Amino acid sequence: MNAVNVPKDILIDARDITVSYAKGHGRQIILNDINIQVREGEFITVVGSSGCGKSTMLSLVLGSQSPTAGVVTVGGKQVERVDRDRGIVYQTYTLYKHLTVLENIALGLMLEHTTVLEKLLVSPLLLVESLVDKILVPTSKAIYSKLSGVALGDDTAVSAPGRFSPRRLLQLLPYFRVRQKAMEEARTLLLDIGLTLKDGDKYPDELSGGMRQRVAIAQSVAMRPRILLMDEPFGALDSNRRKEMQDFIHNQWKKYGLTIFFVTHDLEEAVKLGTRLICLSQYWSGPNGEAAVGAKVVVDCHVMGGDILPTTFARKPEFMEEVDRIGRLGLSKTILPWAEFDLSHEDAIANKEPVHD
Amino acid sequence: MRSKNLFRSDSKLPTWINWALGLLPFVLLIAGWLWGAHYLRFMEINFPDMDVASSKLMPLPGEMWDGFIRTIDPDRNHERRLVLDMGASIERFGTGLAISALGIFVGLYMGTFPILEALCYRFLIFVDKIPPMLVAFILAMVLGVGEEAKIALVVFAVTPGLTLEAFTRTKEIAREQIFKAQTLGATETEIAWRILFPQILPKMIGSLRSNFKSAWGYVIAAESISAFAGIGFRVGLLKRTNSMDVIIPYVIIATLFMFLLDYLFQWLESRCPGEKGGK
Repeated sequence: MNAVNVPKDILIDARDITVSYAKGHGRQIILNDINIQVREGEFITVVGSSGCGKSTMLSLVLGSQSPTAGVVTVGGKQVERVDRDRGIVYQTYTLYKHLTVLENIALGLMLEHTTVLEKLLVSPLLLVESLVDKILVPTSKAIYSKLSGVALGDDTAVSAPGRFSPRRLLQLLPYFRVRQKAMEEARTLLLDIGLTLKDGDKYPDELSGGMRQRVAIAQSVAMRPRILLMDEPFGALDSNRRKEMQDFIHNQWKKYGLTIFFVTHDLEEAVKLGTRLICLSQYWSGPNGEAAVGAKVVVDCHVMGGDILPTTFARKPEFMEEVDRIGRLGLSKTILPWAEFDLSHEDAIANKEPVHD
Repeated sequence: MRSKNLFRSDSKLPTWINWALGLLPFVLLIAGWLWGAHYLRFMEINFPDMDVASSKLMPLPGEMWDGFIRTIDPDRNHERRLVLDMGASIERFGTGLAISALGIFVGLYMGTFPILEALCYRFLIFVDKIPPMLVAFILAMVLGVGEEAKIALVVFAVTPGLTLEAFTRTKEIAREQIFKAQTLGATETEIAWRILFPQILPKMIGSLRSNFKSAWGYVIAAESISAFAGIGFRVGLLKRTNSMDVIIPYVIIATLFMFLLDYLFQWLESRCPGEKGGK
């Protein structure tokens, strides 16, 4: 679709991107002619002062917003709308509050294999199931143990093999088979992210902020997206939780070989986590000294994160140097020299091999 | 330590005080009524020349009980009047609200699809402003004095507001939730029914609750225009004969019905998944 020749391992290719809004009689330019290319398996962190358009950049890749000019392609396909190739984790609004944690994680798998009509048809059956499970079985057990003096265990007798139960009948329906499979997978993921099965039955409101973000990540990872987009996912967490989550996402990235596009306003976090760092800034001047309009990429460099755990990396002396260096380069409000960056740039080349397990 | 002073903003009331204060207005109302009723009777007997209100206007509890029994005992047409009237009114009320509730789905789709929003929003805002009681006469003219006119009045009075409420609630849900659902592979219908609808459901039950009162009111108003049975019709008749001893039981029954229904829906609201107390 795109005439430009794109190397094979390039996953995200944003070319000549300009985003502007109508404002008064003129136009307010947010992003000014930006080129970003991302290889498969990269952990790319995007930093910049507030209002520089980092979140806009992320929306473009997600497809929830389209550029005024230019084209974003992901895996060779032009991005036109939000679809299931890309996962997203926001800072808030991450989970659906009407679903339990487990249902949240299983949601994507359920949506893919079941329709609204099925859900509508089986919802009375689901109600019966939960009535049997939560009221009928416990009550009859309680009465039985009271009468016979024999205490019954907590295991649900209805699901024991070889016995007749309403649930076994329900399992004949395709919907329930899909559901069971999705729930099983969700359970594996749930344990994977360090939550207990008990947490799985809770509603998101009952979880702490860090746990919620873990679940949100699992929810996206369950779909095996080609790219995981994250918009300041740890912004609302306290510093200890934050460090924990940084290690967590690093592990997930390694484990699933994800490509992560991570937007943050915290430079230290960006340096710690990423294999490559992009800095957007409204303060730049072109080679001919033209004044800054909108934001451009002022830094695009390989960073050391990605090889070791972020929190271990943060204790190394070179870490602060790196943060200082990039801070001077990218985040100062003095006018910065700007030149076109892309994968041919020496810093970008430094990360020759796409990172895989 | 919380203040012991009961009149402070941070005071914590003991349970018994809480209950006692809650019941106090009811006790005062009943006591005031009894006093008034006895006062009127006293004046009537001892000073018949003085111009005080008729004691019929403040019946005693015993008289009201008799009146109540008379309405539930079969009359000469072998009809239990209270049952008949409540049944007729509740049927109109329930049918009207059930039809109005369809507006929730319209609102849901308006909030989901901008094209429907463009089509319906301004029109609904306009229709919502038409005074329903004026339309009641038009409806009686057009649809006659049957059930249709009364149900149509309830539908007309409740639907636009309910639809707009559903629309606003759907719109309130962060767009990020929709984007996220799309990354999880949700189709348009699935976004509406599996993501947005369950989230507005408890709020819509609450909205229905707040519409009970006006719907009930419009049923009664429509019945007082023209009807053959119903609370509004009966009380209108009883007004002519000053039968306060029957009117008051009717008012109490109609109020109790509202109270219980409200309680039921409040419970339903709390049982929605994700709500506090929900399963």
